[in-house]
Amino acid sequence: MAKATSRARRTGPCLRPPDPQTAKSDRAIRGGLWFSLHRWASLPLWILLFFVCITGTLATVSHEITWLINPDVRANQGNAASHVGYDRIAGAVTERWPQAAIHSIQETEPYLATRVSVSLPEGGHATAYVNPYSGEVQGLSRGVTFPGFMRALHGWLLVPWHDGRSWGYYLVGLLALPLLLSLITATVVDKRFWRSFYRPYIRTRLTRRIFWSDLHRVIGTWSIPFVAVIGLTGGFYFVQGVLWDNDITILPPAPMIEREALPVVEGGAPEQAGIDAAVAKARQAIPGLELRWISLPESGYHHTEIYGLGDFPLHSDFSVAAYINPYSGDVGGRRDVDDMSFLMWLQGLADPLHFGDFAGLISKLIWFVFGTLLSLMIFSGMLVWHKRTAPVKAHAPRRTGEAGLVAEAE
Amino acid sequence: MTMRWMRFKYHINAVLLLLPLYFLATTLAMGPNGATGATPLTPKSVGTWQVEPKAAGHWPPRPGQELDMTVRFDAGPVAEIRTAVLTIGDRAPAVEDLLSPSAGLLHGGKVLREAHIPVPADISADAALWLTVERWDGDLHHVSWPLASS
Repeated sequence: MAKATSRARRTGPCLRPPDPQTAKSDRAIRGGLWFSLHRWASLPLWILLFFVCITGTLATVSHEITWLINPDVRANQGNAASHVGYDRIAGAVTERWPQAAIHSIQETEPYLATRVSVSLPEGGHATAYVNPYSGEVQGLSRGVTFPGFMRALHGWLLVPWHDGRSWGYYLVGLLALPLLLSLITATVVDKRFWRSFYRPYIRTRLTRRIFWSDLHRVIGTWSIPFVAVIGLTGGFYFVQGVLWDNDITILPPAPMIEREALPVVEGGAPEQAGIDAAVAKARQAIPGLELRWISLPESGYHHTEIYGLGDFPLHSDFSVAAYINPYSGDVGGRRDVDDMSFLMWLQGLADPLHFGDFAGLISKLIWFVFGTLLSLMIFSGMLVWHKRTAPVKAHAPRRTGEAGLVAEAE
Repeated sequence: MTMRWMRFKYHINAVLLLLPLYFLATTLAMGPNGATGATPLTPKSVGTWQVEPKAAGHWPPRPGQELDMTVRFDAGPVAEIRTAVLTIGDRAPAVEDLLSPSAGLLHGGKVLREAHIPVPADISADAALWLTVERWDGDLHHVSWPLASS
């Protein structure tokens, strides 16, 4: 054994001939209940799982892909000192499309334009891109945007939502089970998996099966935390869907303005305070607010709703909220990190951990790399199985071994 | 045969990828406004407004399902609307029920608005689709479309 180890050191970490220990662990992997479970966990749905992983990986960087293709979504700061404010942004959109109604304003990353969601007078929705440093409207995309499409493709396979539910959403959510089961069974099947952390090796000069099998094991070991995070948050989305279906929401609904508190105006509408005034009130109510989303009132009873991140950086864009009365300017309700229940706090973790957008471009790229690796792992797992069960004719010299395996596997 | 089946069976789930393809095709067929097979209802007036409703989904609505509607406010100043809702029932909703979960709030555009109305599981023969518009002076205006004959 000592000899094998020193030989491994000489040949380097990535190219090592099989030593007796490896041969033994290969044998150990082949049989047994746990191995069957590992195979049954993901193989029957591998193409769907692969598709959801690929689309999810692309969804992680979908805004950045749009940035590369469409100059309208870029926010070039130029010589501008700061953000022009939301009254100017909304005003620029209204000036350009006077009949369009603004629903919401979204901030994503400092290098991306502010997204203003509007309803068009002829029907349909659109997103206007406004440079937050110049206040210039750079473009308008009608209907579904690329990030929105990728999200729908990944999250619910485009299965439409009716009565607040899409069965595609449940189908994708259920994939958390094969993902987590694969992870758990893999650690039991390959008891020495942790060796791949400090001594990863991929044998490239032997058979293709050995190459893919080594790749599968090394990627698998290095992806354990990522797969666990994606599996757990994905499973959470499924549970959240079931809760929605039973009218249980973890975050409380936005408060409405009481009818008695509304201004009464004959033959007109009451004056509204500006969006910037509401944002200033929200910043007073929630010190340290990192603004992500502004919802403008949908009716006379609605507040201007302002959402974002509080002092805790690993939370979703909607974790903290301030509800501002657009007529009086009063704070009609607020939710800061301290006001959250444990469940609310927990559910706030799901989006940033699943999307990988908690630290801007850097975390998105890390999630993109691991998403690619996870997709590759699903593919390599299938390939290993495919090569193991290859028809005996294809590998005549190794007939007995392969045939024996087939018999064992089935 | 068994060998071929054994190697083939794990790839059958590829048919599931036809799902997004099918729904992509249906969405594209619907056009940019998502309105396919919309049923226009008789234009009527409510208060000072002339309204043109359209049922985006199935009309008459099916019990227990959600009805998607659009309403175009063709005349009259829309700024005077405090809130507008669509409901299904025997009579117009009371003012305190305007924001209840059984009402579909008209939202979206200024002139063209949309609503998603929960249809009760048991609809009586007299039930109608009610449009209720509340003005900023507090007055309520109602108009209805019978479910049976329209």
